[in-house]
Amino acid sequence: MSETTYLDAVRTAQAEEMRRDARVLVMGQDLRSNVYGAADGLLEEFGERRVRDLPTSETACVGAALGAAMCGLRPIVDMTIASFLYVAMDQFVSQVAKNRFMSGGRLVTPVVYRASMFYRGATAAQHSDRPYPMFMNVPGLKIAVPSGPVEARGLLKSAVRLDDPVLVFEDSLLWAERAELALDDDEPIPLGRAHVLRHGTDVTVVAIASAVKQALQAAEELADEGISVEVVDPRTLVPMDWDTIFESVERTGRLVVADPATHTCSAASEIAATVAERIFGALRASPRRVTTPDVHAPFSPALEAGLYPDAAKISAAVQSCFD
Amino acid sequence: MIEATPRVLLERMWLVRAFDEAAGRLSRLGEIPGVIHLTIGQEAAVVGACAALSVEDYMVGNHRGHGHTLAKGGDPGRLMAELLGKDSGVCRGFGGSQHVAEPDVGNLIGSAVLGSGVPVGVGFALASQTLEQGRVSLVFFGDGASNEGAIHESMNLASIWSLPVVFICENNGYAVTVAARDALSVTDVAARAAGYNMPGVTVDGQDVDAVYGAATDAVARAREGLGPSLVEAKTYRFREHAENLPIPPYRAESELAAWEARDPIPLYEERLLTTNVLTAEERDAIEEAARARTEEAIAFARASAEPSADDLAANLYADGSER
Amino acid sequence: MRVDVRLIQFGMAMQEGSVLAWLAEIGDAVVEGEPLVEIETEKATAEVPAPASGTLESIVAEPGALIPVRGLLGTIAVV
Repeated sequence: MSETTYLDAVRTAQAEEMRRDARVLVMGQDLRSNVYGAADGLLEEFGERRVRDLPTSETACVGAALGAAMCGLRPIVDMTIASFLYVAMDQFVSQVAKNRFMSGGRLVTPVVYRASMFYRGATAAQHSDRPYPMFMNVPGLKIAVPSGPVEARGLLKSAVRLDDPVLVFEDSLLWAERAELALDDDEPIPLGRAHVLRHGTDVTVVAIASAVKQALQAAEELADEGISVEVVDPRTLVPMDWDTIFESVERTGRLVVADPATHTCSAASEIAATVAERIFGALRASPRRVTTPDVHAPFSPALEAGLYPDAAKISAAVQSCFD
Repeated sequence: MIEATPRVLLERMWLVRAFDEAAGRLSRLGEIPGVIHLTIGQEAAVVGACAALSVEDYMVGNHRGHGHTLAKGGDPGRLMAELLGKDSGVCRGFGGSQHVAEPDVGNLIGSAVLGSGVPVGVGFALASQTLEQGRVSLVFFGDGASNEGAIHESMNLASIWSLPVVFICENNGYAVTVAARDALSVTDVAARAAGYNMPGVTVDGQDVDAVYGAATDAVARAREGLGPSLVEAKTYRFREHAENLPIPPYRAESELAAWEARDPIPLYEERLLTTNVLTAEERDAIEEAARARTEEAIAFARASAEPSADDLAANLYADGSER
Repeated sequence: MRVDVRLIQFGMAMQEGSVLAWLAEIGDAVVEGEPLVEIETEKATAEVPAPASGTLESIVAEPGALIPVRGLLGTIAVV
């Protein structure tokens, strides 16, 4: 066992998969210098061909990684800051998501793109996006949202081994999180499998990325008030583990979704709508969404600090289910 | 690899011509859903370029892609079936005319969004280089697409990594109705190569020998590890941008007539007849064979079944799962 | 032999068109490629050319009719 940080867990997963499969390579801007923190030691161990620095050409690099994946390699692309995925939007939508489908299933596209969501750190509007909802709307992609080091390692290992394209949205607010990794366990965390982090009977809180920790804190505080909260981390948004979410809400009858994305068409929206549509009879209150308001990230911390989901907002949403 | 003898070059140009004339007729008979973009007038450019490749080499086509696939050795029956949306099509009816993929002959993708497939084609070359496959990746794009950022990024990336890419620009003078002389900052697309530190050459796109010569040089360079090249073939499309598109005239009739006088097929036949490479009877037989093969392709396509709705979800992800 | 005259899909988003006028009458000789039916779409007026040479045998879609793309307009008898 070994306690590591979130970023080091990502590094560990990359190194493990590169040792396991010679076809795996990593590429990213400033990767060799490890500016983004998940590549330490990789160049020394695996050499230049498998550890590549990328020019600032997101369109070409996203597409080239896909093309390489179609011809026998299994690239992991570090997109660095999640907002930069938009620069290559056409490649993600028109190529990465569609080539397998358009070929009638004849092509394989085993490529992974990972990026960190930077927010609540005065990085301001153009660097602070939480883009996963947009990509949820594009069939053909798989999306992981690791909420801690164990998840970061396990989900990335799964993503690399899949023959489908996977977008991994890491959360910079979780970089300092530490957890024990079972390094002798090479089993990846399968995509589409949620994790019930805390069992409860009165309300289900589905939480995404940094909101998981906030939800667990809220659950602790609510327990003192006699409300028993179940916390579910979906771990992946596509595929979504609907079975676990439905089973939980059928027991508790109440749903709060805590999602750091902006409100409209957030992942929370999809979860709330689907639960209401599929198991309406089990609900004793309408679903609640705790999200970031529909506004860009302002620069000044005085403005930004209070925007994102936190334990207090989640608690308030839970309590409103009992009004 | 089939040696690209003059006979083979003429046979391939005739197959492309016969196929696309038939596709035009079938579109007016209501048998081809959607819109099609024909290669008529540009046969020498596509055939000359693809003839420089082996069947294992990679190729990226575009929306005007029937000629690309046929020139690379794709089966006309399976291509016609794809146009008709049948299950026996190269993409099982999932791609259609604008997204033809025929992996069996290295044509991994055809991409309709201008320039969008080119980064992916650079990725094919990346895999070839990394895995030492010895394959070249030839990517087609037009004068309009040469203005897309994706093309510029791709040329830069291929250049800095010395990737085995051959960039082929079919400059037919127009992006739908917008003339290249109004949209491009250069007269010759090949002039852009210097900006990316690669050789660029402009050839007469109606002369299949000229295109073949330039493409062969570029392919050899790439295969020897000397990096990418750009070949611009000046050509002209004799039909409308998309078949049956009712646009008010934007090309002078005299311009069209001048280019039709340089139809690549009669031009090449003239050369082969006057140099006694072919007899008139052999020439006739080549045309007849192309038309017969096309009729067989049509019959095959018409007799084929449509794909099943069950295949829709099955082709989205490699594990056949739905969302 | 009979050849269907169908509404051509003139553009990518085209779903349907309405018949404005037939440029030949039943029994007339028609030539492949020559305009045969005037069509109005949301974007423009266009002409469906005769898909084959022969005699105009039947008119299925009269002027004013709204027809889906690739829908039947009429038939040509081909010798």
